[in-house]
Amino acid sequence: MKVIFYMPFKKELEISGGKTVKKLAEELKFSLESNVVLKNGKMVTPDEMVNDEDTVEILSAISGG
Amino acid sequence: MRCRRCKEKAVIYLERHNAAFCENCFMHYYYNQVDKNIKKERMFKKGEKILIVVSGGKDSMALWDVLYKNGYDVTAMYINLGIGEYSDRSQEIVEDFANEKKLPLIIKNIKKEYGLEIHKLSKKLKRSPCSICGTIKRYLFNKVALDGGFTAVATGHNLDDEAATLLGNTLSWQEGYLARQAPVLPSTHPKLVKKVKPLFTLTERENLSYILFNEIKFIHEECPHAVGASSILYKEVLNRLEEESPGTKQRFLINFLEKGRKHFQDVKEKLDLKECKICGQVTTTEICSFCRLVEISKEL
Repeated sequence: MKVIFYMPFKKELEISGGKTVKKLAEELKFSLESNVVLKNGKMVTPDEMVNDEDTVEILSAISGG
Repeated sequence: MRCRRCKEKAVIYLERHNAAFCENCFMHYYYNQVDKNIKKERMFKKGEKILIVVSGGKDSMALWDVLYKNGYDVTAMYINLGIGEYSDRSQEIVEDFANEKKLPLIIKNIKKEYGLEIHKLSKKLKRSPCSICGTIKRYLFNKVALDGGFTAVATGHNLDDEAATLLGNTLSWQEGYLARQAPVLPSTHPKLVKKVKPLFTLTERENLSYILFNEIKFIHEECPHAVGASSILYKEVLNRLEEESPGTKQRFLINFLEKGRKHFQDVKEKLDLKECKICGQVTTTEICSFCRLVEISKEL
């Protein structure tokens, strides 16, 4: 599956699917409290399965100020 | 996961509330939180004229949307701080939203109206751009609100902002700042307008989710001056704690407001407030810090 990070700069990864969003966050070491996860453009909960054909976007919610 | 209210498929999980929501029920939760904060903290009432400060970022855009949809009399103010393309893009987002929803908007441009340029002042005064930006914004929040007859200035400060500020002030035991931190900063002078933070119990993730569900355009990139800011580090540390122990951020802030803050009141400075000899705004010195920046800019 394709995983896209937008912050601090755009980065795309291709990794194997068949795991939950929670597992994906552990594997790629991103925080589910600091980010919103979209699967094929729709927001999903940590128990959602993500598979090889999916596109997952990780949007950072943290800002300065 | 299933939505706690309607049992449909959930799209967001809020671990600190042990609750998952579908999109519609998340909106219900979000509106209720904002409404509860406004009423419980006596921020303002329907019919009062409220000035909401918007940057084009997710938090202030969410606040603007939720307040106008809930029937509050809000006028937005955008301050163009002259931070290159970042300022131009964010102004465009704010203007598009106001035009689309037919909402009143005040635009201030610090270079065109006052001759202020943050990067030049920062260099000349050897102060961080964020500190100069803060001085300018605080001045304009109050001046525009006072001149326009607004009863409160609302900002998009969220739970993460407030918890990070509290952590920063605690780490260095800033007693004066700890004494003043609150979701409502009351007016302490006839020419000072009350400041309120209706989103202070909602996280940045919840505000971003609100924006995405409502398909509201916002500026996602960080202000170039905020990159590497200590507030971002504090937020990341707090979110690490939050993941290990859900509810940490809210407990830290709410327990401070209910139990801790009162212990700092006797160290709160008694400020000798007077009116600036140039502009008449409230200050503790003969000439306010904003007018001093304007004077310095004339020589740059």
